[in-house]
Amino acid sequence: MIEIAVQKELLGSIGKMDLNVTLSIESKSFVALSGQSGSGKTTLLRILAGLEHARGKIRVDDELWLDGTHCLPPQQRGIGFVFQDYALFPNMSVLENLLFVRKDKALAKQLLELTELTELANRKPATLSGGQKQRVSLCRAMMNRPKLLLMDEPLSALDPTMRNKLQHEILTLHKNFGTTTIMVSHDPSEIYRLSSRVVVLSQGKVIQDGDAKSVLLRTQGSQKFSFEGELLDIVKVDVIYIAIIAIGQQIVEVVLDGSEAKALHVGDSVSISAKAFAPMIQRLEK
Amino acid sequence: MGYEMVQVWHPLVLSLKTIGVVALLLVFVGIPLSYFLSKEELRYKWLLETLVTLPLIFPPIAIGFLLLLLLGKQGWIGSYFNAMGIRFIFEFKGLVIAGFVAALPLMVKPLQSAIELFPKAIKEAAYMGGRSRFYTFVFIILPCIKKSVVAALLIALARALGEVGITLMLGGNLIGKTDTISLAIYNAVFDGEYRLALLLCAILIVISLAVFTALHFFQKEEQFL
Repeated sequence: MIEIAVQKELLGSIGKMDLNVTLSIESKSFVALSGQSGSGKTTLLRILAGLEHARGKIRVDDELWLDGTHCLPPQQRGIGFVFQDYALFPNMSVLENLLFVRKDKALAKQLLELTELTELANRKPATLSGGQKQRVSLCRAMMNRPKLLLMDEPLSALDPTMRNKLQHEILTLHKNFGTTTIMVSHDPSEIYRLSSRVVVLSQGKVIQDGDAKSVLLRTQGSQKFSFEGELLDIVKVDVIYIAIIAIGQQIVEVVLDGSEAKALHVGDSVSISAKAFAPMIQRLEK
Repeated sequence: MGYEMVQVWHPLVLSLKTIGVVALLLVFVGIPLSYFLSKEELRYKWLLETLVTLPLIFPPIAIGFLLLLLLGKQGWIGSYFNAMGIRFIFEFKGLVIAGFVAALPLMVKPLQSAIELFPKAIKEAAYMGGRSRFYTFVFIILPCIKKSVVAALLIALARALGEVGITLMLGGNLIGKTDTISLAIYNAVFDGEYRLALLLCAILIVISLAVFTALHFFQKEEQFL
């Protein structure tokens, strides 16, 4: 069980703001931290890691990490941290990166096998691809069998295929080691796949907290099938128009008529929806 | 020939011995000092930086004179050492101090910026792996910036080799005792022995070319991932 109650004044996207977060996190759970940039997600993660000072209290099981002015240094917290830009030790091979944290060859071997990195054990980080680097970073974070694994947008620099693969590996590691995990992420599908709980921050405060489904499904309650996207182009084909729209990481075509085409401009933010596929019938009360 | 070979060998060996000791001092004092100065939250940082950089801006002969006042037998610091039987002026120690003071800014400044530019996240990753700041510096940062260290050391030593002003003041230019190779050139020209001066210059040219070649190799940029 992790009890967090921290305050810190920081410079956000719109001037000064107060980070003020109170959370309690179950052991072995996987929490996603979401919210716009500048809302304090990364700062919260860094406070948990002991890399930044704050006021308040952090209790992990029966250890006090932060209590008023007393602050346990990052070296003594037993934390795994995965950075967005990997932060591997450039002068060491993959295996040495892992063993730097703890001289436990058996665990290093097990982690490299789980993430299919055994072949690359003696390579230097500079020779690896982004996805491989992030897997090494993930393994390194697991090396001291952390009480808490913190991940700061670990997959946002990777392409969609590599993301999927790594999401799967993060899940595998989570199942194998049962490490309590907090991950900052913007990607709804990633959050849905990985986390059991989503906490949304805005201006340093928690504005939503619940399971992935209830927080992420925006169209809850209305029987509408709806997506938001960006209008990339409108092409005229004979007498009709075709709009090309980017939704998430996919491109779709939608047929428009002349008046609709005139009302829309390339670059517009649009919603695409369909309704009444199946008429529904309900008895009205007299 | 109007000169003897000992007039060539003695200054050359003396200079090499001097920069050898200066090199050790630069490694064991210069590197820790660079690390110390790269700390963000350091009190009186400006004062320390000014002191280290001063010999780069202030005329060497004036620095030499100030050091002479400071380290002389009656000097502020020198009098304490004199009581213990340690003297700096007109001694080999004086040459080392002169070379070290002149070389220090050229070692510390580039290293300080290399350490400051080292990615913060990599250091933090080491801290969270349970490693201390010192351990991280010795086993992660230094190996990663080793080319910068060697390049800075070479430039600093080249400066120490060419040092004349401070050396003249602290060493006294005693022939056969404290006449380094640069001073020996001055002495030879002064005595009208142009052939000796030319030979000494040729030796310096060879050394400088070697340093240039080494620099070319070590100054290639370091990449962090």
